[in-house]
Amino acid sequence: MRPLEPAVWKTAFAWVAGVALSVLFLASGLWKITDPQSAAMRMSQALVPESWSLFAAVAFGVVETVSGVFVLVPRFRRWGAILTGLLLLAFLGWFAIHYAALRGADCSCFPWVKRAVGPGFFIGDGLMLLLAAAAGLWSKPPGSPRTAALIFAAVAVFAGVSYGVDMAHRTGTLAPAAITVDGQRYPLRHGRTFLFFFNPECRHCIDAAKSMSQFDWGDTRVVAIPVEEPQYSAQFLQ
Amino acid sequence: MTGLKAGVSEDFAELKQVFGFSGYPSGVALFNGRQRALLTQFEGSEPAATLKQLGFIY
Repeated sequence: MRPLEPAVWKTAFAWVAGVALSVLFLASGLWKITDPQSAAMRMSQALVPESWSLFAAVAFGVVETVSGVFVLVPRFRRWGAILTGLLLLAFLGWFAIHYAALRGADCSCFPWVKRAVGPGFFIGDGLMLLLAAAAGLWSKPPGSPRTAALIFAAVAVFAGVSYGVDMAHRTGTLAPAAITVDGQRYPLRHGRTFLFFFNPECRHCIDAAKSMSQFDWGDTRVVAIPVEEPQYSAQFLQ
Repeated sequence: MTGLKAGVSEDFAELKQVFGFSGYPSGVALFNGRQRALLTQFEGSEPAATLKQLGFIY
């Protein structure tokens, strides 16, 4: 009899939970590390202060990636479960605090999956929290802290190199840090933005805007800038 | 009238100073705050072809 060994089904469930969490957190973390500017833009949209959004994107990218690796490897799974659990609690807390402002908006949790902030978001993250608890409780005690530290350092270095490469590839005229759009300050230095210069009374501009209204813009933000007759802008865009 | 979903900015003077002005309609594609392209063709396959190439539309 081996009373300290968890039941086989618990070990199997810990594996399934670990793999599922690993896929989710690696996808989210690697996306933030490899495209920090876009991740920062999404964080700004999720009400993270603009001045902190880039740092937050890189930091969360590193921690999420490390969590994804740890929760996959049996000897680090408990640490991974603790990290993913803390991250999920942080996300749940943030969206609960800002629920009124962010309700219905994309949570920007994953690069390809759209998840609107609402009851379903909290249920989904709650289930992930349960998976993390199962993965942590039903895994063997963690070991090899040195190897774990090396993994953390490697991911951090990778994030730093990725950020450096991103910075080095920045060429082209630099836009103002922000402009005023619909009466609000509007950052221009994160993600994709299309500035459209038009005259509301110009027939060619109307045709161009009608054509562009059919485009699938994805995450690209469009800002219309009237060069004349700004009082007719709203009518132009209707 | 056009159905284009966009925010409106009246900061034309500031943007003109930075990017110049090529008449209307025209567009500037920005990626992480840097100009990727100036678009002045709005007929035929443009600006869709350029925007698609830049990854601005799908």
